[in-house]
Amino acid sequence: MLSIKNLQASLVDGPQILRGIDLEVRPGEVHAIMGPNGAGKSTLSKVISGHPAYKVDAGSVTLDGEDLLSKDICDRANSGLFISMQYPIEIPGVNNVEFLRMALDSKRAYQGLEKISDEEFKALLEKSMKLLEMDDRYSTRGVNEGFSGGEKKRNEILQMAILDPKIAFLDETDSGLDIDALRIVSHGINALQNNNRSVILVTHYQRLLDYVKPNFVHVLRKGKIVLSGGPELALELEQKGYDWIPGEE
Amino acid sequence: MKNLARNRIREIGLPAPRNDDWIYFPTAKVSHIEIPEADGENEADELAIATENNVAALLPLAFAASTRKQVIAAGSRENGILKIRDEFAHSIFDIEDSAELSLEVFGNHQERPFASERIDINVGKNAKLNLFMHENDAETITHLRHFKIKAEAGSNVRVEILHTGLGTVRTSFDIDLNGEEANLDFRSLSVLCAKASNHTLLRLHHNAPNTHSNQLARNILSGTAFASYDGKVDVMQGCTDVKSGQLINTILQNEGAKIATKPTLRIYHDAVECTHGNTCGSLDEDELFYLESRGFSAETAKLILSRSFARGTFSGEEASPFAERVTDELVKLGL
Repeated sequence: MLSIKNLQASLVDGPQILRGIDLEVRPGEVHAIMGPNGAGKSTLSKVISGHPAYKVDAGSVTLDGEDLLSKDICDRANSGLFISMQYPIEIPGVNNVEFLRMALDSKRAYQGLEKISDEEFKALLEKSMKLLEMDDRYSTRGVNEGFSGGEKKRNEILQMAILDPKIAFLDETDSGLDIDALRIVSHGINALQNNNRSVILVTHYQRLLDYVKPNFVHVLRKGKIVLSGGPELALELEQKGYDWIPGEE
Repeated sequence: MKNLARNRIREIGLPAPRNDDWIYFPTAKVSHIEIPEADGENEADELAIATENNVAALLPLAFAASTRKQVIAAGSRENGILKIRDEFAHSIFDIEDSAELSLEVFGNHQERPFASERIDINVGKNAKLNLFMHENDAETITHLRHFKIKAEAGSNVRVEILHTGLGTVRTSFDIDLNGEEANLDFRSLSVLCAKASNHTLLRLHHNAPNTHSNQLARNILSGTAFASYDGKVDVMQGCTDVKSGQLINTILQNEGAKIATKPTLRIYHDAVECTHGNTCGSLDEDELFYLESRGFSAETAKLILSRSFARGTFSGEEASPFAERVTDELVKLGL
């Protein structure tokens, strides 16, 4: 599925932030990435998806054997990579449902498929909105327009449900969520999880992992994965913090 | 009226670059106009011609063959279009108390090299004006358009302007909010390319307490297009609880395009709330990235953001009666 080898990346005209990431994610797995602020967690998602503010210095990223780094941002997405942003943007004036449909049709065009039919899209949308307990406000407004922080995160998972990616990189999806919203979003992520789809969760807190059980937990520090383990590692981090973990200085 | 206007133009002179109100406009385009001597007795000065300082407000009065006047009777509701065919034209609309007029001003399709129009609109107590204009002049045209709007107590004025022309155009507004709780909602979008030269001048006077105004002017400029927005707001003495906002947003699509903005606030009373803001730049990199990360090509992402920017100009809590017209025109532009 996703294979990251010795990934090193810098800000364009800036310092190196990722200093050799190695990560293998197989189909159906859930990986959690934790780490202190400034460790490079969000940078990792941006570099994999091709954010122009970063340049890759070395290493490779492949998805199902295909080189992702040589692809345009949109082609990476259409190949099956989905990034849920820490701070989703608002696009007033562009209807949320229209946007979802255009994005799905863009992916289908990339795959050589015809545009989705009205009936098929309506059914998919209704099913996905029901899963995430979303009301009509989400379909009548502009993309994230006037949404609260939590509503924006829920809308990100709606996009994930519609776009049906192979791998979803969810960057601090739990931030800004109240208890009920966390339960609903987690339920959505679990419902979308299957043997063919993998999820990478970036989080600071155990609370998300109480709902979405990871197979692996990794600690990212100063641009490198310095420790990996099972779900118990997250509990240990919650209790002890990061200071006890040896890392490169 | 004609004689008064001619005399007044002689007094103040034709526009020149040194005139603050014309500093962005290529005044050489209007320097050829010859003002004849007044040829008779002056008539009553109903339109405050003797104190008018804007030549664009005077030219149509000095040259128009006649004034077209329409009254919207108290309490009635009318939709109308104003088609202007003459080189110089003057129209007056009196919207009586509690009446509503939705008026679309059509461009001058005679393709005259120079045209100048003045439209006076008096909005009575608790009356409503919805005004829409799509300016789409050809490259060879120089066009001056002046709106003088007087709004009485409790009235609502909504102005929506779309500029997509290629010509040299100046649209000026002189707006008086004369009665308590008079409101102005002013929205303008200029989508300009090539050598378009488009200038908006707004003079807004809050003459009564508790009057509200909101100006939103957006520009999408490419080629060597030049746009300017000169907005001056006066809040007069005793006008408590006035709220006035002005925001100008511009997307410059290349280095040849240019925008000039000049916000001015003159406030003669405390306890008012007045703001102005101005942004200028290219499309936001993070927003483009967000869209591309959803599978849209870079070109499509730019289009979606431009569309959002353009349509956002006219969106609001209350739907405009011209919403469909505006959307149609934006769709024609690919927005």
